[in-house]
Amino acid sequence: MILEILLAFPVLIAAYIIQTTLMVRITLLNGFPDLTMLILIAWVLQEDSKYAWIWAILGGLITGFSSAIPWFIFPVSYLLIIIIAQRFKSRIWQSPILAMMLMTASGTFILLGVEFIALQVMGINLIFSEILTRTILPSMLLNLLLAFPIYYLMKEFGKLLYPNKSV
Amino acid sequence: MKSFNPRNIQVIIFLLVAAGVVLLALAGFIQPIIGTATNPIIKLQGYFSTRVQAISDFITVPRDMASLRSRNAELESEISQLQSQVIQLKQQLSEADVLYALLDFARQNPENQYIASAVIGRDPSPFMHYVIIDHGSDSGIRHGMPVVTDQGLVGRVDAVTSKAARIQLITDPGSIINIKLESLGVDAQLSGSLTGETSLNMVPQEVDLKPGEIVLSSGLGGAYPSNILIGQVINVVKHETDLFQSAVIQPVVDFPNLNAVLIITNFRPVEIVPLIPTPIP
Repeated sequence: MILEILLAFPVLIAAYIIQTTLMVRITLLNGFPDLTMLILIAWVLQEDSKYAWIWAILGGLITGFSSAIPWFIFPVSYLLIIIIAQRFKSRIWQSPILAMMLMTASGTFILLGVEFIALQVMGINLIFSEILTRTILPSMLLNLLLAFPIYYLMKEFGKLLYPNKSV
Repeated sequence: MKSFNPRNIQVIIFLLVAAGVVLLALAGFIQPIIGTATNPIIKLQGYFSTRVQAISDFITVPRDMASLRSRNAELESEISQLQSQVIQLKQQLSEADVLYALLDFARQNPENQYIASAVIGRDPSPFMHYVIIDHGSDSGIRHGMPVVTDQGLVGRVDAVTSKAARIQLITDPGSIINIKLESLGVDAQLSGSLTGETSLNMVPQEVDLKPGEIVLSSGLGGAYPSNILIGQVINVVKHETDLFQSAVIQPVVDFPNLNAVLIITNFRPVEIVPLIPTPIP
């Protein structure tokens, strides 16, 4: 169990590095995929994951530390996504892929929606229709494209972490 | 009378025959005879030679193939190593080009002190136009310092850690810079946007703003040094009913491919907040 928490550090730090160097270059209009969010969703949907909320806080803090968005926005958003994903997991556990897709779409919307509200509060005026078409929907599409590989990657990671259980 | 020795007769006959053969050969009569006699031998020799060669090939070629394959693998490995070296050298050359350009810029502007730094990351939020560089407070970088390249103004230092710093680009939606139009001498404001476009605002209606006008930092407000190149007007938006006209600016800096920057360390931004009057309750 402690291993699940300890392994969150290298996984999420690696995700952060890939996010800030590689993922930000895979753009569609103004959107790009959020690898940390995808890893968190994929991990919470694994059957034996128990500390996904710690992963969410940790991933949020790492990401928030480097972003110009207020630091608490990412942990709060990721935690919110994880809580909703946990609900999805318990309700549609027979189809984790469907849950992954649904959570990826809604997670993108939640994360970027919260960021948008934070920026409005900070006094940066953005037009919602513009960010919806130029940022949120393109990011959602890119996240959906990456959702499958990330899900299976985390499934294999879960098998390594819990070799005696069916993750 | 001395009788002829039979042995001598044989020698004499042999010498005569030999001389006859030599004479026939010199006269060209013996060649067809030799040809006729040697043809079957040559054919037989050829037959054997091809068979021997075939057998020899059968025995030796697989060994050659193995050695050739091994040599081929060695050469392929060498090629791949050389290719990776070429890629590495090209990358180093590209980095060197960028650094030489920055160095040239620093030499041409000796009034400023610079720290060259590499861009190591970008903001993980798609709304924010920030980059992360590999130098921080340990190198003397402080909050608010202007950041440039050899092309022009990049932005300013927004946050600093000991080993890294975050730069707000002029294309960020939260960025507002006081600028001046070079030939017109008019002050205005440049602001970024979500899409990364920069636009000019607060340009009085009476100003004859045209595409191609050069935009420089004005230095007003104390956040940036004056006369740093920012970009060029590409499109003017002018409505009779508006108080001000606006324009779209093409920045000179290639922001998507920003790899290295210079931080101006001897410029300290002026903190003007205490000078802004607050309403008396």
